[in-house]
Amino acid sequence: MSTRPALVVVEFLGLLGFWLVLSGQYSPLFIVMGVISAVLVTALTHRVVAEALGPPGEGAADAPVRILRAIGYGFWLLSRIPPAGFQVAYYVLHPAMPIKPGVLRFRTSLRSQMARSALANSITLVPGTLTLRIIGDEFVVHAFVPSSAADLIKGGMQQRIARVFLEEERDDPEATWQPPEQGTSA
Amino acid sequence: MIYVGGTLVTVGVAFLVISALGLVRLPDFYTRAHAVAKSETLGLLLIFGGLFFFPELTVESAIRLALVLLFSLLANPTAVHALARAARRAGIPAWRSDAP
Repeated sequence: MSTRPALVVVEFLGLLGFWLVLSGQYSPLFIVMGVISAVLVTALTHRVVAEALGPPGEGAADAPVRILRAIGYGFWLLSRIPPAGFQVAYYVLHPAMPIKPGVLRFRTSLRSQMARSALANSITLVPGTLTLRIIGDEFVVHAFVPSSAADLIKGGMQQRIARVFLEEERDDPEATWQPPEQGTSA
Repeated sequence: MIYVGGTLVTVGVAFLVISALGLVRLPDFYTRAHAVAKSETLGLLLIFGGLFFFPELTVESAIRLALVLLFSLLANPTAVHALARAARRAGIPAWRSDAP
């Protein structure tokens, strides 16, 4: 894994800019603290960022398409957050708390790391499901109630993400549903 | 405008309270993580959405609010996933309902 100086500079400036906008304090002390934080974060994460973006120049031509589609996907995901919040609120406030949690496994057809982490975050935000682990292309997901797992599989979320990252769209995955044994490691 | 903002902030706070209640009532680590990931994200979204309606808001602070909101929307599920993954690796069992 090679270091890419241009990318390191861009990441550092982006982080420093984010700090300055959020702090709104432009005295030397605050700027120095911002520079130190940005250097630390850049040093810790630049390899991950470089790996996530892939080799230089790859996919640069269709970057605008991906960015536009990512914004569209962001709004769709935003519209899924309120139902998720209401669902959890319903189960928390219900006197009997009728939850039936379980663990579900499926294989994704998404190839890139970025697409997979987008899927993992999306699964956690939509109603009733939470990503536990990703082992290669296998996702392990915790579901609040079995019906929310069905929503995840039929929701076409993977097709939406595939479209954002310009990967080919496939059918919804087969999922195996395995309610964990009580008292044992799931 | 202040009424729209006030209502949104109030509902948002209610979701944060429900999220905290969920941490107490829910049976195990993973279901509690659901409460944090969802009710809390919605609560934040509503509070920040509500703050945009307050007349005192300047353009500068509106940009700042939007950036913090974007950051929380990305960081919240990521952090919950990191916790859930760590819990699973540590072998914490998932609670199961015994009702048929």
